[in-house]
Amino acid sequence: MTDIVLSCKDLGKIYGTKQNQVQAVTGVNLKLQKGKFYCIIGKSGSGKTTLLHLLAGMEKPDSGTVWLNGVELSQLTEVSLARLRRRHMGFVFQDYQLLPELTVEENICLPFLLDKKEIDFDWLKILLEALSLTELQNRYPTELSGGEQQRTAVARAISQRPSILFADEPTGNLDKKTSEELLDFLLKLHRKYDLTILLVTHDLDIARCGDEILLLEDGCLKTVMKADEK
Amino acid sequence: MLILENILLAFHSLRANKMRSLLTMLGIIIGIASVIAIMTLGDSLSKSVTDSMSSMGANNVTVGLQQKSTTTEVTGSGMTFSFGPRMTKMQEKDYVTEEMLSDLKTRYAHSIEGYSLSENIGSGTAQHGAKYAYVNAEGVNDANLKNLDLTLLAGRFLTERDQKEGRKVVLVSDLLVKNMFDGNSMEALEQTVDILFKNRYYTYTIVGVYQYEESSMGFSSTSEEDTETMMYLPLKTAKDQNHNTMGYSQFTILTASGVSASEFCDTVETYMNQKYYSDNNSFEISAMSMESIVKSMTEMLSTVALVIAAIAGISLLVGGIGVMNIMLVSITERTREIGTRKALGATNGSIRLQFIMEAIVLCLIGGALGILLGIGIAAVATKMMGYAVSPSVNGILISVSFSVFIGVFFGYYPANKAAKLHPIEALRYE
Repeated sequence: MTDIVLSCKDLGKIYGTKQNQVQAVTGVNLKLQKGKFYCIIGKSGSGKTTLLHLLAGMEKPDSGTVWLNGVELSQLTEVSLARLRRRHMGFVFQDYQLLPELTVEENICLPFLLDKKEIDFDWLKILLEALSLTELQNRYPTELSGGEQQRTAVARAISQRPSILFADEPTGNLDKKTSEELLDFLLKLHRKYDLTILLVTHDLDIARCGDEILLLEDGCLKTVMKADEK
Repeated sequence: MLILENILLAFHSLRANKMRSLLTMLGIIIGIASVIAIMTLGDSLSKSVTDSMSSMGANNVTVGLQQKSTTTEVTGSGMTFSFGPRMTKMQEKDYVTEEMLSDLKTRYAHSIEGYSLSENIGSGTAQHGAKYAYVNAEGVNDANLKNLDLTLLAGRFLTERDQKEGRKVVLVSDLLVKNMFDGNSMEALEQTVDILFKNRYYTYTIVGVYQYEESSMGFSSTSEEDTETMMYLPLKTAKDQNHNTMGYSQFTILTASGVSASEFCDTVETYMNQKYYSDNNSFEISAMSMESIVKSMTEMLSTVALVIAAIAGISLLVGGIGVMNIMLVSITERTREIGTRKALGATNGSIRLQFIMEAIVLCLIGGALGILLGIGIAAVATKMMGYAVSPSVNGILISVSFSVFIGVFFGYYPANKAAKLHPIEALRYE
């Protein structure tokens, strides 16, 4: 039996005022296994990103509980949660979110600095090579293409060897060819390093690359299916 | 996050907005520059005054005659008018006589080592053949000459016999020798020089050459040829030449070691005023020690420094508000960056520290520029006044500390605002 990395029970989130409430996520139950590639799909406004944020502890749920490696997120202090995020979670955003004043290498090393840890240069070298960033390591984000920026963001997200990588529409700003390239890189990392990935997308073709697809409709998790079932 | 990384990030951020950072720093620069300039000026002035005072003798008491501060009241038509003292010309009865000096010395034999007496003749032109030099001639007694602490380069000092007989002999500076005798001091000795004072020539024989030292006070913009140097002659010779038989309007008491000059001032004043000047309606004795002169000068400087410090304080306050304002702008601009950092696991504390460090770096650069500008202004001002510049170490330390304080104080609120941002809202910020 495979280990459970992330799980949640009855997860719910409501936005808006009393008169104008929006149920973004409703009663979601999940168990994500170590080393698997999960894709959340759904229409715009179906609650995909909100669910990702709730699972990552970046937003507090109105109901339900989230566990990462058996640790209940709601029980953690702000500092402990930040530490957990630094050491056990990786994030890739749709619009890369690289720091413009830092080079590619410095951006990748940022989690080490935030964690006040010595930089693991051997791992850094492997990452740069795996994501074809070796030649670009001294460049600034403004000097990179969209695909290169997103690869840098992926390298930054896994620089601390996290338990899980959260990717929120990582190909949303990329053209088809670059999207496929990025996906190849993600799959390679997933297979080679047994990386657990939870990726949000509205593109079914991308979702098919994962091991399992989670279909979200109006904040409710409708189906969990094997990618090849779809 | 490491402090060093935060400092580097702060530099990155400031470099990205050079003009904005410079304009923000202006308030700090002006404030710190004013503090440093006034403190350096004060220190330089104080040091120069203290140096020259102590070269004149720290244990000396300068005694002089001053007009009594009496007021005259005139009553008429039911109204009373008060008039201040009228300037009165000194008469023979007003001067301090040799007898008074002897009496004082006898009365305070243990406290008085001697009197430094002088009689100034004034400025004139010394001539030897076709060559000339400018001099200021002053008659001095032995004690005064000793007090001057001159370095003799050739010949001899004035002797007791010179003083007693009122010989027409002089001590001249090596600068005069350079101008009139091609710098050959030995050749200058026993040579006569004609000195033109007030359209009359007087002839003196050079008996000694002393080393000229440029004063640390006063302008020194003239060339060596035009520099007026002191020429010392026996006191009696000078008095004879001035036809002065009246006494002294000023003299200096050389106090014995162990005597407090400032305390002795009061003793001398009281004694002489009670014994010799109680019936004198116009003049009285006033005694001052170098210590009290320096003290009153320092007090005056402190008052000026306080006023400037208040102005500088306002400037620093405005500068600090500017820093706070620009930090708030910077945080608004970098909201998404803050969101990213939080998503990557930055704690509220590390975000707060990052922006406080940025404010400190901004203020420290402003402070450093202010210190340089302040020293520059003080250097120009002291040079113009003829003093040696002496940068205020205390001022620099205070400025650096104050810059850090402004950074922390005015950077805290924006930094705290940044730290409290919700990561998701920050990431969504457009």
